[in-house]
Amino acid sequence: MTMSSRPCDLGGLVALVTGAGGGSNGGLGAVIARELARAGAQIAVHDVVAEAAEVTASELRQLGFVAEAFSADITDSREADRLVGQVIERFGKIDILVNNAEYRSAAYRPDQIPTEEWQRSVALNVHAPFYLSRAAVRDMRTRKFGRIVNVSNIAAIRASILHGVPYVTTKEALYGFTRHLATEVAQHGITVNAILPGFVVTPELRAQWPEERFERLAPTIPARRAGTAEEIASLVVYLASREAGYLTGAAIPIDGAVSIVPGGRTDPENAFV
Amino acid sequence: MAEERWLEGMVALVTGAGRGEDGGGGAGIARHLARRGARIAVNDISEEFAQATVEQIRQRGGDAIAVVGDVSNPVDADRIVDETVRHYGRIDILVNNAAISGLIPAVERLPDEIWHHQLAVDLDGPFYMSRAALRYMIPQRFGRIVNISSFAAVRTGFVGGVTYTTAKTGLLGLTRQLAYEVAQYGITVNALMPTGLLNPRVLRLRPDWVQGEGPYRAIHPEEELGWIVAYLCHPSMTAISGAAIPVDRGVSNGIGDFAELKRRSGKDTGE
Repeated sequence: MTMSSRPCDLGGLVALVTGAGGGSNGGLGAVIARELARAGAQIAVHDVVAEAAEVTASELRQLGFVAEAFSADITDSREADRLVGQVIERFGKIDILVNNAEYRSAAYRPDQIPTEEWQRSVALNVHAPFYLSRAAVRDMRTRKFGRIVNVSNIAAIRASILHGVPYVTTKEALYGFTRHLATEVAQHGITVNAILPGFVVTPELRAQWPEERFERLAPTIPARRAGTAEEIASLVVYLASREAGYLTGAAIPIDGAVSIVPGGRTDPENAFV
Repeated sequence: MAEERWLEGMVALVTGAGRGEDGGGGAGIARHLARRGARIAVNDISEEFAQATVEQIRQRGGDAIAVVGDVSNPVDADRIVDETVRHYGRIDILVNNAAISGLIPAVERLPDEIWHHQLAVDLDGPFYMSRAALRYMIPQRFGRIVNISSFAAVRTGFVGGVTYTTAKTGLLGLTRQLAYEVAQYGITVNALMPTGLLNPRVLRLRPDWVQGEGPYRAIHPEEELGWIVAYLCHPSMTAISGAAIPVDRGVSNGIGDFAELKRRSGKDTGE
């Protein structure tokens, strides 16, 4: 693999980022798309909402990057296949797949979780990464190069206060998927890793949470602050780079050390919606 | 020697516990819990299989019924638990053991049907069953849930394939979050991660599979796996919850041998 003099140069690589709509008002996916573009990759911006994907793609183009918007319900295996097919049709290949789209279930008491809440979580957090990875690997292995990054969460190694059983189960399942796929495709020059962000400030979350909520959160984190989406994206850029070829099957917490601190008791008053 | 019957008065539901003597971990666990005094609801997808274990427990003087159904169907899951409670009046122990394993194709050639069916049984099933059981356990302020995961949850279940590894890893998440949420109700939730479990039926079909000897011998479903489950279900055992416990005689923590795994599994990894 030829290395550029610039570290993590993604020049010549094509990246598909799911759940990346919303542009500068979006979530983590939009920031990951922008940082991959800044590192030199051509970007396929996916969002389930076509207009949201277009916002990110047109913002990237205005910054001088190559980007195209795609919309698909990736919980449907045929639409996931079609999405990867469209990306290859437009860009000629797919080198980097970032499975970022996720469903965050609410924290129901476990005996009261609606079946639909469970099934949506499994569909978007586990089935969709499988469909897209399966399709992408078929293309990646022909060039003996590929980078798959699954955006899991520290919920994969701890319990969650905000999101409950469906979220924690599916985010940990995604880590299992990561580990297994890594062993199968390592021989083809494809790496598969999971990142485990903790509390992350995104433009989307800034609009949803009042400032005092961030202020209350900060002292609970050893770093004394939430992470920025750019900090998370920089790890994705590294994992997507040519340099990171021997790092695979890993689950990397990126959380200001919050997952290392022991948790406390559940508060019966405030535990559930 | 009389056995200590610390589960006397308790009702245990064990999924995938059929086939009696010919059964796997589930049947072994059911037999052991019966020896400790629990009344047993034996779940299996097949009536015939469930009855085989029920008969075996009854012949040994235990109390058991069959609760037939598919754990991957939420309606069935509710019914399986409701039938158990209708017959025995309560449910104290749920062992989520039912699972599909076996050799499947590499990820890039894996059809949707295998992925969906296996994930439904191995991951959705334990959720649907736990949710149904907790509706009784939370009001009675007591319960023990034991999820039978696999060592594949911390490595890869190379033989079983991507769906098995994904589901068994997800099961640890289910275990941890449930444990965290239901601790306040006196309920514990733990996961066991066995590997190299003795299976009479597999041994008969594949006598060439040497399952280890002496210190490396296979894990015995009734005497060993069942004993650990019974221990976690002891009424005083409240301190351990949310744990993922390897059941492997300590030998699976060595660095893996990819070539050996490939040889043993006969798996086509698409070279």
